[in-house]
Amino acid sequence: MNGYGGTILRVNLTNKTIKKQPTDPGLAQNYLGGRGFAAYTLYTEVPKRADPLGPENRLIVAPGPLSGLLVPGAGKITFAAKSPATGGYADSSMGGIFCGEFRYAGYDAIIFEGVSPKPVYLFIEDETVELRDASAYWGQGCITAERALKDELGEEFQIAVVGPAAENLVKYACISHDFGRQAGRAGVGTVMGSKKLKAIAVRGTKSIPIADVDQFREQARAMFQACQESKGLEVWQKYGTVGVTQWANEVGAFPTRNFQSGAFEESDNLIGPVFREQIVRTDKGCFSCPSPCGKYSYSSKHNIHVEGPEYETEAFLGGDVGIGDLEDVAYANYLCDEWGLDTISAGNVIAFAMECFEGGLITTDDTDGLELNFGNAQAMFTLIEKIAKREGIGHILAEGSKAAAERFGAESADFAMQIKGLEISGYESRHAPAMLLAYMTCDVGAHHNRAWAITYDIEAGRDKFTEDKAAKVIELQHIRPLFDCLGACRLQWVELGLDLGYYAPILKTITGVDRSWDDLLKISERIWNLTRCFWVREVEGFGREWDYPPARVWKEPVVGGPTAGKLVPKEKVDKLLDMYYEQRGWDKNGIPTEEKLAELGLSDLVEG
Amino acid sequence: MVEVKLTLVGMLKEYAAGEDTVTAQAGQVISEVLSELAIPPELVAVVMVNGRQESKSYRLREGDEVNLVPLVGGGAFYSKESSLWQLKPS
Repeated sequence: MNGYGGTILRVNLTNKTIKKQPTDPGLAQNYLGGRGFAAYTLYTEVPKRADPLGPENRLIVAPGPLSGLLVPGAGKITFAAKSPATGGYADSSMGGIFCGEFRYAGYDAIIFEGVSPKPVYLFIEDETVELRDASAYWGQGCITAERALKDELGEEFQIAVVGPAAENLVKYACISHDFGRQAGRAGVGTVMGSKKLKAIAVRGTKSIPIADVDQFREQARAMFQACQESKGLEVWQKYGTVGVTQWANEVGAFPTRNFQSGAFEESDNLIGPVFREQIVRTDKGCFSCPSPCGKYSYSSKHNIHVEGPEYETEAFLGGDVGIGDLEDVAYANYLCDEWGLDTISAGNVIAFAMECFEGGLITTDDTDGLELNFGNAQAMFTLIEKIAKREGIGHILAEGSKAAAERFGAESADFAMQIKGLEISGYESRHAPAMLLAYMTCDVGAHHNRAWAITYDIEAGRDKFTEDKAAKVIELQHIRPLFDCLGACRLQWVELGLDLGYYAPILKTITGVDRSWDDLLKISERIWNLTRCFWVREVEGFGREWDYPPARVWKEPVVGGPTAGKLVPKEKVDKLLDMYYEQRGWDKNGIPTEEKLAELGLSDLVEG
Repeated sequence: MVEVKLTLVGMLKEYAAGEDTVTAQAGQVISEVLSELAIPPELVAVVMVNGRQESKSYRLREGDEVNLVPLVGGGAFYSKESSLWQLKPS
């Protein structure tokens, strides 16, 4: 089967069996790979209402048909599971160079099931696949363990690893690779930790079958050339995602003090040129990347090297916790990377705790003596470790802001900045309705990467609550996750403006299957509806209520900055959902209709 | 008066009748130039001057090389030449 290795690995951690099964051509046809394989597998294999941290949950690792090939940005691989943070669908995409070795070993996916009685790691070298004892690595941080595994196995092995946060079942633990790349969101690392799977080490030496090599080379060369000629390259290569920090503050989108504001008065310390000139030591790209946005940095203040911080990390370990010292942000980034925490959720949860502390809902009696004021960097460093170890207040915060609000009580749920149990990522959206809708309807909880629609709000009018806003969110929710099916980074499109028209033709040269861009978008829509059906099945009473943002959005206007005074009234929130559901062909409660499922070929799969 | 050339990237060209470059005067501030061109400043993600990111309050100097970079494919800003331009603001 061109474009695929042809084999899926099934690893049962309970009884230590490893099976190789042929990749189903129908699966490749209807779901492409990556996120598509993951969504299908989770829906068909995880028993209804299974414990996310139990043996019945699956952890799926899946590259796509572009992964590991010389296509711009084709260095992505998906990790997916039923989320312990939300109880619903979760996938998270990871860059780096892991996916190349994975593909060259000949595999299209790994499905992990069961729970190992003791710590293990999966060793893969082409046909050799073994579960090995990981007792020596258990308890080690992500960076430390990756270094140790490379020392044992050799530099040519690529490693995906979890840290103590995952071992301790912190609900927002990540999977780490290449000393600073992560599959970060929604607790995919937590599921890996729950299975006592410390790491996956892979090396491959095979090739990937390509239908038309000459045409492939020609197409790929044209794509690389377009990237090289992009005027955006200079910006993104120099500053990475931190290139947008200044803009985010200018437009009032930068999360500040637990989303009380959208502009941080100390943001000038965090912007691109300061970052580049003060701490960046070198650029760091993923596999086959023409525009390396990763930055490897050094903090002399804390004497640590770290990849980053990225924009999102500046938002949550900086502005949202009121910290404007770049080296403190970098150090907190390092701590999260080593302990194995998602920086978005970790910072968001700490910001929530800080607001609770400043509002008197919790005191030093609750915080183990920590003065949890905004801007207290030392308290943040301590709290990151406490969360990872589940010590003291860290045990409560390890459950995420939604669960913590249930403990802290009073009105704290109004400002626990999460949707569906996943902490909101880095865009304050009370003056960006399409972005707000994107967060509300994202299929892993409140994450920006499915529809980064704030740019559309700005172009089309930030006060408008019109049908085109919902249409744009839907359009983006089909385009952007499609990259996670293909196994390619979307940033060449987002940052460099690489034309989307390249992708269907190059996929055809690889697979030999003739599909238009619209055909691919239809696959993406099928997957979006399937993940929605997963939520409906797994979460009792799932529907519109689950798409609501925290009440801060309609109760409290933005404090200060260019969007001061803005909020989104509740009826406008409902209007956004009404438009969105109708355009999607879902009912008024946000459930896909039978007609829509039939249109997408999902009727037989989805139980009534 | 000394002229400074500014390069418009991507969809920002639409504010200069499709031209790649516009001319401003040394001594002008970037935000003034944007205002003259009727480019909403929020659409300009990054101002690059001589290879370094600068703010919109940067005052142009003789010999500056300036790129005005919009946010691109993440949201709305497909190039209109692309077949994928589907939705325009209503």
